[in-house]
Amino acid sequence: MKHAEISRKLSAYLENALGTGEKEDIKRHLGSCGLCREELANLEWTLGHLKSLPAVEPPTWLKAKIMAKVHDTAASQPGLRRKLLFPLQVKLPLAAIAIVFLGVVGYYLARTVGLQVPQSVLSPAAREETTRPATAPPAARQGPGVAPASPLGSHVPPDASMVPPDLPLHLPEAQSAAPVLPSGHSLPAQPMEGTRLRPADEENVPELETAPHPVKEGKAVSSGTVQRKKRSAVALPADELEITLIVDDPAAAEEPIKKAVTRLGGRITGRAYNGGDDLLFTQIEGQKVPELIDRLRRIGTMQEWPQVPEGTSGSVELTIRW
Amino acid sequence: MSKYRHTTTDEDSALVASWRSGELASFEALVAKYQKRMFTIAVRITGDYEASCEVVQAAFVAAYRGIDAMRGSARFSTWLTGITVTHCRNLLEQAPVASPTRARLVQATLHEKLQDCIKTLPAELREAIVLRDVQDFSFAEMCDILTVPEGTVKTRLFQARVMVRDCLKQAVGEPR
Repeated sequence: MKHAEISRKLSAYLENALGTGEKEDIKRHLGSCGLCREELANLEWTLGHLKSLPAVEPPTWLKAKIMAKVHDTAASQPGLRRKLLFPLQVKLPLAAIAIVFLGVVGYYLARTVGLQVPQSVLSPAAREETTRPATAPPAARQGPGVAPASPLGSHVPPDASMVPPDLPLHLPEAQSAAPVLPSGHSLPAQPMEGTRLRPADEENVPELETAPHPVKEGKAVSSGTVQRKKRSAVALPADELEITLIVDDPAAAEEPIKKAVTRLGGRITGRAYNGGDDLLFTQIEGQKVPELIDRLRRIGTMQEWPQVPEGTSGSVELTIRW
Repeated sequence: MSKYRHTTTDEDSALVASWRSGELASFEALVAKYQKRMFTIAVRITGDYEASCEVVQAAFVAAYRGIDAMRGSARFSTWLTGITVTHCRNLLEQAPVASPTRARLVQATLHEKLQDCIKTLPAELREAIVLRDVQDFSFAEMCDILTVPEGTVKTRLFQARVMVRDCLKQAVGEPR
């Protein structure tokens, strides 16, 4: 080993950081080289001084200042650090649990929502049909000109132009009397409450301007808006009678009709318009009805008249329509 | 005998784990334990007491922020020393410290002269001689800290010792 090379290795030799072979070579060389021995001694002297350097005491405020800076750092990004620093072995299971939970919730919601038919899917008529009880609404209560509802529940006036705008909508309760049926006819169904039901009329009506109204027992019911072309005597309950007149001037016929009723001791209980017909609600002695019919025949053509059963006593509710 | 123990004790592992889980008090305990050692390294490398305060603060804050960068097998003391040495190097690159004058070398005490001799070295030689001869790090640890091969560490160490020897000879005279 050359002198220069040995000189470079003295530092490592000094720290016993050489292999056995190199160490022996240098040891042999040092035995014969005073210069290398002096250089080795100088290195030992230098190392001795370097190792004597003491530790330097930091200022007393250094730790507090360091922690203040660390706290500022922690306060600026606490949540983000926690999210970033969460080890994968915690994040992955949490993510898996979250995915499973979301899947279960989504499945449950899909099943729950899927069983309900959205209201927007149904037509408005169907929606109303599903929410409305299966009874025919009273025609009078629907307002003037309101046609019987379709099977789907729509309430479309057959002819709105025929409806006076100022018609009151008030019909006494007992205005659902059916006309007396001529012999051979039978009363198919009881009139609906508050409606002017004429089961027999339905058979005579050539056409309905609106679809039949869904009614109990499946019969389409005219709720008073249909123009009746042909009338006949219909048997109604004795206390609910109706007379239908055809007059030339409906407005002019009102006073004579009222006088006919009052002169026989009857009284006017109400006045209404319904589907273009004038209605006069009266109370009169049952025995006076035939005489009233005779008087009304002088005012107009009797289209419908009640057949008062024999032995009827007391007052009867009579509706005169013209 | 080494003045310092550069092994990760069970205490360090527990403190680091606690710190990782969010316990700031654990990090404070690590600061208390290593602030003097890091400050000494910074002073010996930079030769500037005031600048070393800033270096150590920055090193600990960087360690706090960069905990995820620490390998699981690394020792905290070694890892922290590497951060401190890097900050010292950055400081020297930004504001090189002037070498002491001959007069200064004559008037100062022995330790001051020795420190002044270290300051005459280039940054990489200062790091090698301070870490090995002042702080007694092993060659393996120095390789981790300086991220250079062991041969490079030994070469730098030899050059640094020779230069300090020559500087010290001028400052205090020939060794007796």
